[in-house]
Amino acid sequence: MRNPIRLFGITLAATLLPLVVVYAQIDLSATSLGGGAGDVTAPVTSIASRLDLLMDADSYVPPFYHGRALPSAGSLIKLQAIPYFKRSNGSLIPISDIVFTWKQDDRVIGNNSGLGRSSVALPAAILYGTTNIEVDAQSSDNTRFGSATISIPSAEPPLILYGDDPLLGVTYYRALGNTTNLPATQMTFAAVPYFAAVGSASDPRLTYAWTVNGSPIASDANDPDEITLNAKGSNGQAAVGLTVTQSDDVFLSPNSSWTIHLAGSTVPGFTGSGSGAKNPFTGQSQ
Amino acid sequence: MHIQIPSYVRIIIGLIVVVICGALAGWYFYLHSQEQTTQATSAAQGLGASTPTFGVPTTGSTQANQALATRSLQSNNATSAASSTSALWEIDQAPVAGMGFVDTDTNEYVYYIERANGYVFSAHPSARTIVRLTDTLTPKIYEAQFAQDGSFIERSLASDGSITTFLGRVASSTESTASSTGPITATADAGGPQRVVGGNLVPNIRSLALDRVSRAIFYLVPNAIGGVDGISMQWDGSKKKTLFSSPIGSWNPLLLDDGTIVLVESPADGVLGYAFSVGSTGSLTPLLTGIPGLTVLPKAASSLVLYGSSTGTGLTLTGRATTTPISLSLQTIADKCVWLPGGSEVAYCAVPNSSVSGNYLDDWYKGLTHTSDDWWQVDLSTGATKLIYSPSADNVSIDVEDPIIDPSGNYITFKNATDQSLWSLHVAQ
Repeated sequence: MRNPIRLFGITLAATLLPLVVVYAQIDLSATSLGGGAGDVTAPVTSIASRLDLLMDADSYVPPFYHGRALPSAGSLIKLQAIPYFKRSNGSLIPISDIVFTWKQDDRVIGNNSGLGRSSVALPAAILYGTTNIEVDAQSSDNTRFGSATISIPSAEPPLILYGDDPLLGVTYYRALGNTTNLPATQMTFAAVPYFAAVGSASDPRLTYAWTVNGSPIASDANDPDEITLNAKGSNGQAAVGLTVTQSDDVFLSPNSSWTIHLAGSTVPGFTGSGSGAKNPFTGQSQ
Repeated sequence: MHIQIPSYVRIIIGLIVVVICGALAGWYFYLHSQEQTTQATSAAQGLGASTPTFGVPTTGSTQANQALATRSLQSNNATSAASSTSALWEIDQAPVAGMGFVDTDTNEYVYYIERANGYVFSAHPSARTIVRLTDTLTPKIYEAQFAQDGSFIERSLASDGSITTFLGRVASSTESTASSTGPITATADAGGPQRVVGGNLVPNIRSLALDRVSRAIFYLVPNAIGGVDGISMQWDGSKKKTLFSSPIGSWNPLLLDDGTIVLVESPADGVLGYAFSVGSTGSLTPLLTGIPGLTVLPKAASSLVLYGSSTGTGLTLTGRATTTPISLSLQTIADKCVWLPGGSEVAYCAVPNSSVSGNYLDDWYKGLTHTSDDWWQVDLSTGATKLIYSPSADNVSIDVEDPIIDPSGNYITFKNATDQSLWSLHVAQ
């Protein structure tokens, strides 16, 4: 879901939009307090400087994934502000000399703001919601400042199914489509809940409810994110359904379904799958 | 005189003759049955069979079996190997974990590791020959990289789900003691496939880059604040130091041939990305900032950089020689490009030959979408682009992934993201 954002009269359609740099000079006309004789009143010009805002989340992505870990409901958004505040001599003002003020949805996050507080971890928005985060940075000598904002939606973690081969491992390079034909008689599949607010796909906070041709299949206790289908004694077609629920977020329950055609076999004597109790193609006990 | 033989004597003699004949017949049948048993036993033991011959396999039966198995899983992928006269060569049909160009005194080889067995192979791009170099069976190799001397890094998953990273090399047949820092065999050992020797780095390295020339390594490991630390070290473990620390965990490191470390925020469609070069003291110098869906390919020892952007509505590719960006007329990502070695400003890019979805980058990284790519040449000095090869001419469809180019600029090697098969394209002018 993309939320167009209007900035200075310009509509920007990017999903996540940090507004990084405001090139301007603002006369703060700083005046020292006191007012006594000999006090000096000198204008201090604070120069808007560049401030980059980096973002990812502590959400789950599988090993070797090259894309960004994105926020979902229940996860933490991690942000890092990188200022490029140069002194007049060209040297960079160190982060420890810069005051950062973080705001989430216009609320100042006092605990995470202050001198040198250039990074923060904040809760993501509720499912399908969007949170706006702003950071203002000001050098301690008030000579440089910068600002950046970002608008971050929370999407439902997509459930994606892959083959899990005994020799190749999980074939992350080829996700199963809605309908997949496979020549094998038996195969194991692994579900990956991208961006779920957990540390691993088999995190105990996740409950996997598998169905095959409408019949529920008990999850394997050790690998609840995996299911093994055996098409012996059947026509090989399996309508696989999966709903994942998260114990600490009752509103989060991504689901998906796939139609898988394995090489069926008329040879009787189904030998069972991972959980072993039922024929996944019929749901009946063997 | 006639002697009369009593009748009972004649009966006795007749019985004796019958018994003797019966005994002889029985002995005959007994011996015959014993001969058949002996022949069956001999056959089972290989007696009389032709002498088996042994030799160094050119491809390896495991490879062939895996190719068949993998092909059978890719029923929707109608690819076929190009002819021997084509510029394109399918080096290996089986899924490959990674590859690299390895230099010897006179030749240049593509070394690669099969994903299903961990075997190291050497392929000669011009002769189109393949030799298996190792016989150490290691299934489920997810990623591999090679240095130019043939030493390699392979990454897998342990049974507890942790990521393993192994630094290895091919042992020589005369080697008695394993050492990961010894000489490297760049061609097939005369003794046939050899074992792999080496050792593991720390577990759970999230991402890693290898300088193929110096064998320096830069890797990212999770830190205590939920982000990553960036560690640099030499191949032998020396000069190890933490160069970088960030609360952000999604980074893709690059290590150029000149030793430059570049960190690119892992891309996502429509999400702003940043890229930095990392100084020897860990200082970050911005290379590219605030570009949605940023993918980056810098050229070593130059200011040249190609970068792609995925805005969520489409792809753009831009080149930069100095400070002025040059918008190129190709819709692809920098991950699909390689720089021509040397001083030129020429690059080669694989470009999807049909439009892609708005979430192309995310979907591609997840294996949800695949494209059919053509190879284009980009000359950044003029901004000109030119189609140089279309696999469709060979009735092949390839979704290019992890392309690399040999130091002489003659061959590009890449994986087909659809099935992880390995390909080589001859691009010499």
